[in-house]
Amino acid sequence: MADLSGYLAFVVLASILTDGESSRLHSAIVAKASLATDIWASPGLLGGPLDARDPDVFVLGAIHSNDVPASAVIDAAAEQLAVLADDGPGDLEMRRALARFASALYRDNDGVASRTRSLGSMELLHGRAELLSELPDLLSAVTPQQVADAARSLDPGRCAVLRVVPAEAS
Amino acid sequence: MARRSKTADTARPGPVAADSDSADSTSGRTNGASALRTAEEIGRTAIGPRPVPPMTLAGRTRAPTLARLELDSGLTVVAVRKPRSPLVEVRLRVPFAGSTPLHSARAEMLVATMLLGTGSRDREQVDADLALVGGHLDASVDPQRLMITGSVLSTGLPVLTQVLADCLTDPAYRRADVIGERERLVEHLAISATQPSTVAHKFLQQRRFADHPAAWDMPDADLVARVGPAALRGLHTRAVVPRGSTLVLVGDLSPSKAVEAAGAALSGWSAGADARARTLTPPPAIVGGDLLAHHRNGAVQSQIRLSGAAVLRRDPAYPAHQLANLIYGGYFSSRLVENIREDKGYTYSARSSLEFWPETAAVSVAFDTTTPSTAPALLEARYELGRISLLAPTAEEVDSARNYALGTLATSLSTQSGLASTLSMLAGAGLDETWLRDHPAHLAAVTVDEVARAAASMLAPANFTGVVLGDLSVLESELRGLGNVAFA
Repeated sequence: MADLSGYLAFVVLASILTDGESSRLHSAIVAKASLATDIWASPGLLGGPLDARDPDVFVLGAIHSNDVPASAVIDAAAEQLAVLADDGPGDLEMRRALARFASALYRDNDGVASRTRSLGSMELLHGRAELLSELPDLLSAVTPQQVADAARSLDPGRCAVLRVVPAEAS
Repeated sequence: MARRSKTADTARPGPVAADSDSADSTSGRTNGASALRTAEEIGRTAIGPRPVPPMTLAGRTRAPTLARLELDSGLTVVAVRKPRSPLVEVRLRVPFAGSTPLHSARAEMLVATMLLGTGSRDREQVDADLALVGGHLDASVDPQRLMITGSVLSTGLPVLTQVLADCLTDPAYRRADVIGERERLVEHLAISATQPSTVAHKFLQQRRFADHPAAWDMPDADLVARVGPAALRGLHTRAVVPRGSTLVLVGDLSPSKAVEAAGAALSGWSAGADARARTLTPPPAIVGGDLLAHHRNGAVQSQIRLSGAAVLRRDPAYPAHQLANLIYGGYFSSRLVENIREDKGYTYSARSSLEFWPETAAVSVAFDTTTPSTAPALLEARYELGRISLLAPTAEEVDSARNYALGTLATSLSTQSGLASTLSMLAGAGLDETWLRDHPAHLAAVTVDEVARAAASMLAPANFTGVVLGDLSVLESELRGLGNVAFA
């Protein structure tokens, strides 16, 4: 990972965007505008951050009904990203993201088998098994400005879009 | 398969010893001042990786030290210190049985909406307050109980219990939230009703429980579509009650302080003196009989589900039944998996497991096959049932199953969440933490004879009923030929 701190800004960004009912995209797109029924964001295609070598991708996923065009969901997400890029995250948002990340990390790695797998994966992919225990501190060093920069770098004009559309019912 | 190759790899001390003679500069480094090698060095030395040490028996399990407090409201609070991670795991179990399909529809809607806001917190505020302390709460329900599962950074436990108390005593059930979740749930039920495994499970429940509420673990979508906020508030007041419920806290905490603090936080959760969380009435005993075959148009795969009566956890013969189930189909090294997966390739996964209700237990066998393999796979599954019920298993089979049972129990109890879930399960089964100490000792003492007796009563083919779901236009004549199959 060439720029770990920059990468972790995307982890914080993902949490602020879609972790829980109080997250920005849940609030704006699922609860208020009812454009989608579910939405999620994370660096990595394999289910979590740091699950790939540099470079990684940032994935935003949503499930929406056929009545809503995909572009409406994507535009609404881009709008929220633009706001975040301009204004940055709030202090409470940063604290919520860090607390949720730390508790999920501890919980996921409480079992000896999952902890061993995580240590092995950190060693194999990043050459640093000890990264696992350093992550909470590293994440808390991420600044609001870095999160805003991360949001700005997600240019909607450059993203690839995959749509999975159900076949017409026969 | 992987298991075997791994054994082969580790059981070759010869070449390792031979290689060490030719060790070059790397050995000089490992013999140097520091005995520590990086993972890369370990992976690259001429000696190669050291052999994996042999398995040892699971150590003796002690019952955890725990504090227990019964509140005036009838809620029991249990806390165990396990400071492995700086977290606390939370389980609130409320017996939540009903007697009508409408109850199961309302119960499903209740758990989908009960944590979405209170009189003083909207749904975003509930989540925001929990997020700030790294917490989450989720609610789920089945025919036996409502369960609220949570976890939180240990410093945030007071906040989490406060939010939980607020959701229990002053839930909002705002119309917009209820309607939104209802649409989502109806859609989810429609999607899952198209899954063959869901359909097969529903047929199995009908086959073994008929119209007993134990069968209703999937609510009826049409009934769900009629549930509104008033019905949810009514059900919450009537049935989400403390008497008979159990709150379990496990993690980085002081047990006596934690039960006191949780008791104080939840002191406002009360109900009338005669209001008691409702336990499921015992379902009828499962009676052996024909499998009922159901047609699924154009299905390329079939689902086979068998179920028979088993014994309860508190039965002295339960450990022997647990091992008999493991040997038959309860883990990857079982006879059923060896036969219909490894040897014949009829299925990708097959398993048997034990299930529990009040005063009723079942052993259940489940596997999916392609249409042409359906009847042969059923034949083999029945053959293995007959074989284990008539001929005693070997001592090696019993030891292997015993080690697996002891090892997986130790593994699951080693995590905060596993211990919390197990303690909550025990409370629901009318048992307590002494089971965690006694059960491993009982497992260790089970004899081959006891396993053979358990298998003879529980796994005899005539003990089973069940269902087959598949393309009967292809399967019917084979299944008729096999016998003990009726057609819906």
